[in-house]
Amino acid sequence: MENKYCLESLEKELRKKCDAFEICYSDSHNSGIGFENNKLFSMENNYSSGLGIRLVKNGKIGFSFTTNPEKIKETVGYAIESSKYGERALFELPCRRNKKREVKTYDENVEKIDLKKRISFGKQIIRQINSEIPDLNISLGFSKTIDNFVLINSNGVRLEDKSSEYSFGITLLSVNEKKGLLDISESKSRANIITDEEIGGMIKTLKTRYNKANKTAKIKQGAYPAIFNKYSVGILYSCFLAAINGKTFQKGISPLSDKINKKIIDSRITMRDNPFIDYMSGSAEFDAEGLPAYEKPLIEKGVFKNFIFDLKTASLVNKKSTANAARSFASQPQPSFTNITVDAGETDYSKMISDIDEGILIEQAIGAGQSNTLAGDFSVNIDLGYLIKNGKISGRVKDCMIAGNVYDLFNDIKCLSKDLFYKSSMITPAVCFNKINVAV
Amino acid sequence: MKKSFEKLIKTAKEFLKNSKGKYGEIRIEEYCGSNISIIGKEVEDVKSSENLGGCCRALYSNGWGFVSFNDINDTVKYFIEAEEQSKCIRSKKIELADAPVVKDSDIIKTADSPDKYNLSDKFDICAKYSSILKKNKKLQTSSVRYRDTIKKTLLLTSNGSEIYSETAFCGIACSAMARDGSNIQSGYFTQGDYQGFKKNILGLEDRCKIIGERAVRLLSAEPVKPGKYVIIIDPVLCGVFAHEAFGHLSEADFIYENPNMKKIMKLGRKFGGDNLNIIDDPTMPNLAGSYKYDSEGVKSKKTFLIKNGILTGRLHSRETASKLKEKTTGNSRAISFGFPPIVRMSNTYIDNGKNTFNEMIESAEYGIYAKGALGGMTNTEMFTFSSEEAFLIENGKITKPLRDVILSGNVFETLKNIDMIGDDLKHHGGLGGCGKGGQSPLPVTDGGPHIRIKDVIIGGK
Repeated sequence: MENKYCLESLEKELRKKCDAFEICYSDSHNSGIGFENNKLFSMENNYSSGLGIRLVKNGKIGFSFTTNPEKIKETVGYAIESSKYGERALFELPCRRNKKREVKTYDENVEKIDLKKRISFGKQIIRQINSEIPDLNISLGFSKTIDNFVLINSNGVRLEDKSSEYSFGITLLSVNEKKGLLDISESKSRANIITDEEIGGMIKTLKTRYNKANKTAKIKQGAYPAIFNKYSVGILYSCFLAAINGKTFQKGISPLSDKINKKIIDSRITMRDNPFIDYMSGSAEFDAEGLPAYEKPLIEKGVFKNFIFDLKTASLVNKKSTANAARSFASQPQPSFTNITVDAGETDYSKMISDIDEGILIEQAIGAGQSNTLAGDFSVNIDLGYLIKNGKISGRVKDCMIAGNVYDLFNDIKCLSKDLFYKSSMITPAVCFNKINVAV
Repeated sequence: MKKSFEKLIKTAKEFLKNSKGKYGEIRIEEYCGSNISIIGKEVEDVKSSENLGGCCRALYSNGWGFVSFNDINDTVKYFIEAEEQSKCIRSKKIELADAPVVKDSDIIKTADSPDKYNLSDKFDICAKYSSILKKNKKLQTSSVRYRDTIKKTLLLTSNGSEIYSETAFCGIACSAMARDGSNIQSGYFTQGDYQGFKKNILGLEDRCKIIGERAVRLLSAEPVKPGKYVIIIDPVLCGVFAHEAFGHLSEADFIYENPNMKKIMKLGRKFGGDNLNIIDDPTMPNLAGSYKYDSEGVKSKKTFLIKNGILTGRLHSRETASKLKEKTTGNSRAISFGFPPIVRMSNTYIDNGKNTFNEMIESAEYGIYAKGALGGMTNTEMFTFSSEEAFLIENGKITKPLRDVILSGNVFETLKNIDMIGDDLKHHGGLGGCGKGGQSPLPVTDGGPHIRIKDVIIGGK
């Protein structure tokens, strides 16, 4: 497809028509097989490609994109028209730079794998779970994506990047007139092959979680110690990440705007933005504006260290880009995190649970992001949570809400697990808080 | 559009006719539109764009193959690919409910379509609203977002249907944010559908002023105390409730292969009071969820989901209707050529009852009046939604403003707990929409009158 867009002649034309420009082309091929309700249901192939043009004309930024190679001329026209209304460009597009480090984001085995050959494995997984746990509706899917990304700018950047992604996901759904609905999932996604052994491990975990949730337990309104593990702690991190995003800072609504180098939470928390973890889904050698990516602390021992920026957002507040631009061909760059890592603590995960007399373990919640997220507030319905009684998980708690403020919570940490867990673009320990409010 | 792809359409039709599979469809879409986004002081985005793509879906016998693409010249090749995929699936046979052959077109576009306006008209209006918001010096930031899409779709099916549709959507969303230390409050409104530019975009100066004032006012509101309350919700929240709390549950793809779910969602079962009627109706003219044919070419119709408190219907694709031996409803919708159609809502609402708003407020000894929706979510059994603005009701009177009111509950219990239904039904579209299976935002409207619900859980710190 790339040659259909005639990038070379487009470059020539843009050089004539504007002060600076950036062309972003991508094509991706995604395919997947999906099992639904215990049987193979569909197979998909999605081919998509398109091109975005960001330019600076008369000092102002314009943008347009298209998925139709026959409309390139019109797209250039739209981008120029758009620049009449755009912001003044206070930044320069980067020149060609060297990468700071190598990181693997592509695995040819993913490109080669024939998903049709995964059908029998999928069937086997379903048969096996059904034989142990009757009355379940199981859905599962394998998918792979190969992405080609080209970035060209008027200052000499010419990046071509190929990346792969392989994912596996499975959901068990149980509907029971008395107990209600239980929907429980495991998923993994990264740039290299997920092995059958790993999938076997995920299935084992899923069955254990299901069996624990199949018993019900009651909790009274009140404040309890609470554990957030890899399935749920992201809900809390997202409040911090919204505040750390340079866009929020630039708009004057970040609660961290005057907190750089100040202690904001418990000194046991160190959180980094790390683009250099092989095969992890947020990894990259360059950001989407062609700047070499690098690792940076966001929170170090409880002290707030860095906002993240792209070129435009940084220029508006007299800062430098932190090489955190992300985009698709259809949108202008925005500041975005790569991979988030949080340092481990000192407590065994199993001991974290056994140390609690009465408390809750949260795994899934609905309604995240609806509260006053920027201020750090959350208020969610516990979709999957367990009552911990005398150090043991005694059953699933339902029909209740938990609420709090992440800055208060992370100043009241009981302990962090020694064990680290991977979840798409995050590596984190489980976190136990001294108390959280439960409304029934 | 038809003209420019005449040759392609002829070949595709010929090919579909000769296909040996049970069913096949080809959708070609061409759309263009503009986006404007002004956040705070900066113009974040002003763009026009043109898009083209297509997809093929094939059911050879036992499962679906689906291919989406931008390069429509290769449509026939992609159809073969979809059919090959379908052949690999050897589960049980899939049957489809009958759908009459249709040759028709469906134009959902008024004379005042957004393509009659140029980018500078659209930009000037957004800039005007943004400046009204910025005049309020107590606001920390604000945003104005505008979007229009002119979409032309051609659907060809192997049973000979050929449907051309053209829609012209435009909408706007404005928000204001006020801040006092870590207390951040917002005011918000959105509207958008197929009723044209003047109706949706012009004359919103006062509403911009109002949301700014509301955000500032909410700063001094008291945070709500957690617990169970009697709640009176306004038509916007009632619509979100109809959609989130019940609408998703009546999508048959969630039921048709699940014996336990079938038992729970048995037609004839009593779900609410005699005064409760919940309806899905894509045939209402020019609303955000309106259409004449769904993405499988099935004619749309009004469906009673709940009539006088009793479960009377659900939303179907051809596949789910056949499996449950019920009639098709025309609710199989795809958001764009990148996705296969799935069972979706259209214009969903709780119908009018007989109570007045004043009666409801007066009837509450201690409760909450919640207005507007910032968001809503469900796992089909439990729901949460956040109100934009809320007030405490004491002894039948609205007393003081409350902030951060998030409502949650169990769908089945909450439906039973609706004890008063107002007489002031309104439908709301907007820039947002519904998300399901990665397809978001699908244009829909939510609607309802004011309603009163007992025992709703409110979370709090």
